[in-house]
Amino acid sequence: MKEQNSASLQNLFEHFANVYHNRELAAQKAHQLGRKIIGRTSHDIPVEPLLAAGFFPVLITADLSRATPFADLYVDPELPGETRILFESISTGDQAFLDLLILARAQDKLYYFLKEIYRLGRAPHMPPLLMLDLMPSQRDSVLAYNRNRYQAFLDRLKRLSDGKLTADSLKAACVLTNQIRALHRQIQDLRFEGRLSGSQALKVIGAGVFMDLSDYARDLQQLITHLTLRPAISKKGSGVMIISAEPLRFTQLHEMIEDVGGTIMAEDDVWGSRTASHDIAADGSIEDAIFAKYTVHSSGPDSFPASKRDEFLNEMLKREEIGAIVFYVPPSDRKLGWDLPRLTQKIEATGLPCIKLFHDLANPKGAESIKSELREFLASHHTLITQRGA
Amino acid sequence: MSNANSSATMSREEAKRRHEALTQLDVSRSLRSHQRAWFENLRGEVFENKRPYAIVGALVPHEILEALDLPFITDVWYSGLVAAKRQSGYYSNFLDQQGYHRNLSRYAALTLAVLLDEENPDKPWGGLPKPSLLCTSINERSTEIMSAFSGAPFIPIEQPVLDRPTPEWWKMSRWQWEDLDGDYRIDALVAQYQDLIAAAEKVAGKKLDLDRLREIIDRVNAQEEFFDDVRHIISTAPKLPARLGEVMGQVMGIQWHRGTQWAYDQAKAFRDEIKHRADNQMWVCPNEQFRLMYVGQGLWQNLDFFTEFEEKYGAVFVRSNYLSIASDGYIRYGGKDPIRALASRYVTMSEQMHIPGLGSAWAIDEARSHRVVGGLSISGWWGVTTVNRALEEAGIPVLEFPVDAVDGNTWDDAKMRHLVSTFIEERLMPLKNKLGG
Repeated sequence: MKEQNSASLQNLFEHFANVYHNRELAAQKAHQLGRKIIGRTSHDIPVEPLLAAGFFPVLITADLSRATPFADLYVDPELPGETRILFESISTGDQAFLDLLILARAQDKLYYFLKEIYRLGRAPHMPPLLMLDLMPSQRDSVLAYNRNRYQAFLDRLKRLSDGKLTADSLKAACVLTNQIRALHRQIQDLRFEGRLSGSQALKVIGAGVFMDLSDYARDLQQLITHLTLRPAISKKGSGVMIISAEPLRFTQLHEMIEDVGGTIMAEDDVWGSRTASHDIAADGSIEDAIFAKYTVHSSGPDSFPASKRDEFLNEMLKREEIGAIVFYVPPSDRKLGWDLPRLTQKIEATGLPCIKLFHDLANPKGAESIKSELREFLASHHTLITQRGA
Repeated sequence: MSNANSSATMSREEAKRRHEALTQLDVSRSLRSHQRAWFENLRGEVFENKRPYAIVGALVPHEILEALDLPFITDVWYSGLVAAKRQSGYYSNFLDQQGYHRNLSRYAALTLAVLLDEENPDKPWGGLPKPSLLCTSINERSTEIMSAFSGAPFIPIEQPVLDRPTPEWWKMSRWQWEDLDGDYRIDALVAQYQDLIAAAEKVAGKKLDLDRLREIIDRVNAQEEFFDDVRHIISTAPKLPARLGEVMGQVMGIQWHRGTQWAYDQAKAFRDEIKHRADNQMWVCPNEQFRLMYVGQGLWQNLDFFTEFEEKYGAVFVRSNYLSIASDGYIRYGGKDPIRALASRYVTMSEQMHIPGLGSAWAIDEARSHRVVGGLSISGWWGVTTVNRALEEAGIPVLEFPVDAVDGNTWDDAKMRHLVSTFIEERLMPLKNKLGG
């Protein structure tokens, strides 16, 4: 029985890892089967209206190993590598299978470059674009603008959906995504109990933005069932939480921390623990409830004021499983650094240790330095050293 | 004083003498004396008499504060002042010591550094008192820290994304701005300006007079019209009537005070002097051969550098963003609501020079109207690659100049001379010969 559970778990982990690594494969297969596909470049773009309109939603991410000969002709070297890589793949037709590509406010520069290259007639295979500009401050003075933009987004989807986007289909989509949120909350609890590693969790959670969501909910439920049969092993103060200046789109940092014996139980990141958020309200107008979920009820690295950005960290600092904080602040950082002294003070006030990693993980020498700093840090806080096999 | 410092001082003195000798416009001198008097007054009012004041960003509607008679300091302008006092290195290190790592932009944050540095007795002009109001782009995270430190309210400004870019924006910006900018984008700024007005009224202790604001906006329009005249004279005169360094200094010196009677008068005097020079054929370089443009930023750290190429090659710089954006970016006519007009003025301000398509179409149009044969582009601003490429495709060679616009440490005189000479000899001369002179 134990062996059977272990084999099933292994298969499920491999399944999620496969989806996580082959990010557009499921969407391309669905396209071949005749489904309409909508790409989105950010978790901030509501997925429920896309589902309700009958589309297969897929998150479009940058393949960091991709060469960018075309993008180098147009995109400034100072801009983030992600912008250049996405420009390369979108403008050269990699995402031609999309019926629409929706970009968020954070990708405004990418949007401008794509609009221009299309206008010049040099990217004929680019999918149609839509900008969904939701201002992050959530002040009353930007509410009307955000509502206006959200409505324009819904209207565009309604036109594309041949009448499928209705209040009922939106409600059904929210039932599915709320079910997934509940499962993500369970995954987070299982992480606190030490039943799966941080890098495993990142792949399991990450797979959800690349595959059919009904299939994902089913597979995730199965995984959780198997994981709960595993023994809980975590001890008080044995877990690490990561706060990263760059979105944790890949697992390198997690794997490095695990290599030197650490256990990552949470990350202040939408690719990880932040997905375990509260549900979309089921009462009242469903369009309003989705809007509220993605604007006034959400927080992230761009939220304003700082107290809003800190909400997730504050919650995590209350957890007795968390024993240390790892900040990843590579040279590309232009934002998190302004919060570092304040956050350090807040964390130190709780008595937890923290480490700041300033090297670049993408650079081999930087990665080596990070590893050595992590090893030294964990060694000096021996409660953080735990080892668990997959 | 060490020898190194002594020679640096001599070299600065020498540069100052050279700059003075190259100054051709009377308005350059009147601008400098006004700036001194204005800053003396500000120091008296704010630093010594402790009158409440605001620290604001460059793209915030200063006109509202002007209409409320609320003194204000622009963060990037003040950072420039710190740099001019040669204290930018000290304050950059100070931010490091406070835990703000070196990759974070120092462009506007030196203002924060001076505020935080309470113990140091040697601050530029005695340092900054705590402000009573802060208003910058929401992206300026250092402003949040200033707010927490000083207790002053922070009104952040979030610019709406330009979802429908119009390449030839300058043809619509004066009268068709509601169509150009989109009513929903203008609404977004108007709502945020209402927050600013409410906070500023509280600090100023009076209500905003919309008629006064309208007068100020009209005065800015009139001031920018004088700049538009200057651009027209420069672009259509047979030869260049005033050096670009002086023109840029004049434009920016006036822009920081836009909306005031002084700014209007100074802009008028500037226009009149340029016109006088053109009417009387007082050319910068009588042997003018090559007309060049700055693409993007100007070489603020060494504005006189290019004068030596006048004599050697007959090369003159005739165009910069600073003068052209004054007329194409600021003027807003019509509309009964002055706050909407202001919102339109700032909703895409500065971005229209960067955004691919908008920046390139404008640069090509400007190059053609100014009869420019080549461009010089200083790296470090986003969008430059697309603009340079568009110019090259339009037959206008561009020299990418590898220096920082303001940081003198990046300057290598011999290398820069060689680069410019090679560019003129190898790219512009053959083009001129091909076109038959």
